[in-house]
Amino acid sequence: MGGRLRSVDDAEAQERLTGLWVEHHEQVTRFVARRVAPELVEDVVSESFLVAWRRLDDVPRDARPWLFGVARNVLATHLRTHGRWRALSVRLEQQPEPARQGADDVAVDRADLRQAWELLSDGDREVIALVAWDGLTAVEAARVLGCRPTTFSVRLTRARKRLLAFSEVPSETAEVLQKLQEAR
Amino acid sequence: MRSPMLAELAELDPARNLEAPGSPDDQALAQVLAQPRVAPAGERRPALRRPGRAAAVASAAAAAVVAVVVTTVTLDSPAAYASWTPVPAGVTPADTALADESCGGSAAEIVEGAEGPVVQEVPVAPVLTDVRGDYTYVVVAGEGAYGECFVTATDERGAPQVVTSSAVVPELALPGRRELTTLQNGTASWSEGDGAEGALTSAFGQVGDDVTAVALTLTSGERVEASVADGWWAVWAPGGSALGETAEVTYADGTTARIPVG
Repeated sequence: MGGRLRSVDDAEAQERLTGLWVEHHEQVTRFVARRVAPELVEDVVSESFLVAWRRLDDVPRDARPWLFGVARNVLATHLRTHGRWRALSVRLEQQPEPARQGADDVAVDRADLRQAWELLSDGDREVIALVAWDGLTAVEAARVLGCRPTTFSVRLTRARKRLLAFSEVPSETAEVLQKLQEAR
Repeated sequence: MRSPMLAELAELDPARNLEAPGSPDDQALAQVLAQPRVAPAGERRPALRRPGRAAAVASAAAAAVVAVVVTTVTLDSPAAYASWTPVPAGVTPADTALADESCGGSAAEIVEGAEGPVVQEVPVAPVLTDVRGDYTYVVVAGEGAYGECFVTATDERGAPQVVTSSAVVPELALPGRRELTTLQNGTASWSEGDGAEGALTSAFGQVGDDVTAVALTLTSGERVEASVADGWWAVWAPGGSALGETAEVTYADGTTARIPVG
């Protein structure tokens, strides 16, 4: 390296990116899979790691939130070409598993939760998903969204309140609300 | 941080059973490593995406955004943005300071570079501040970049909620003396602030030197005056799809004309 400015050389760079790939590929893939259709996941993940490859010197020691932020940007860029973008839609598991369709309380709770989730805004879904699904702390999630941790905490608290409130909406009312949405 | 409700929600995670361990031998990794780390200048060659895929991503995602807006509008509270006014208030030094503090910085975007996507960051600063009631809407711009920033009234902890959206473009096309351009016009769910207030519609762009005022008609029929300053115009109103499709432009000589807002 001699007296040159700090810049990882090629072998070091390859080793570093391979390390990031091995350590984070599954988590990044899940992060993306929660937000786009399955057939698109692979491309978005590859693009995200390509950005990491090009910006290797910028990747922080705690790489996961950074990689999530990049993946979110890659998704958002695709979106911006066709419309305005504010929050990424976080998908919900499509169908309940058969084992959950019994009449027990847990299944009922889950149906309420599913209903509530459908009524949330995308912004609320995203902050909740970053914690509940992507497994991030408030500090990490704030890094993904580019906001302050305190701001994230406020948003999460509000989103949780709304999720709770919506889960208590009678299912008939929720159905009407959803039909109105579909009709517009 | 994880409440029982969030733990329960984890069960609905669509990707919780997805297995995608990364291996040093993955072909996709080899493809990334085969790309130059520094994109050669002057080339435009998408590196990893196959043709057709990007459009599919965009349309699927755009559909999702539409759904969001509808949700928000449907659940809109009648009291949403209650302090909003059809005529913007005068901008005080405090408003300018708030805009500078909350909305400056840089527009960052992953753009298609010579050899695939690259991160582009462009410094931006407020160019127009529009104050209506408790809300400050700010247009920011830099070289080849523009964006909007919405600052709500302070929340219960005393910190303003700030939402930004920006874009980096090759070049901003300047309007003719008696024209206006529209850089953004659409409905958004500013759910990062107080989500109970729901959707709003905003539009902004640039105006030619002869344009002194811009007014639009809301779909409700109400007339709303845009802010015009330093070659920029901006307006926003509560609700989804709230703005009409043309603007009434007033020129320095006192004449007016109707111009489409794209």
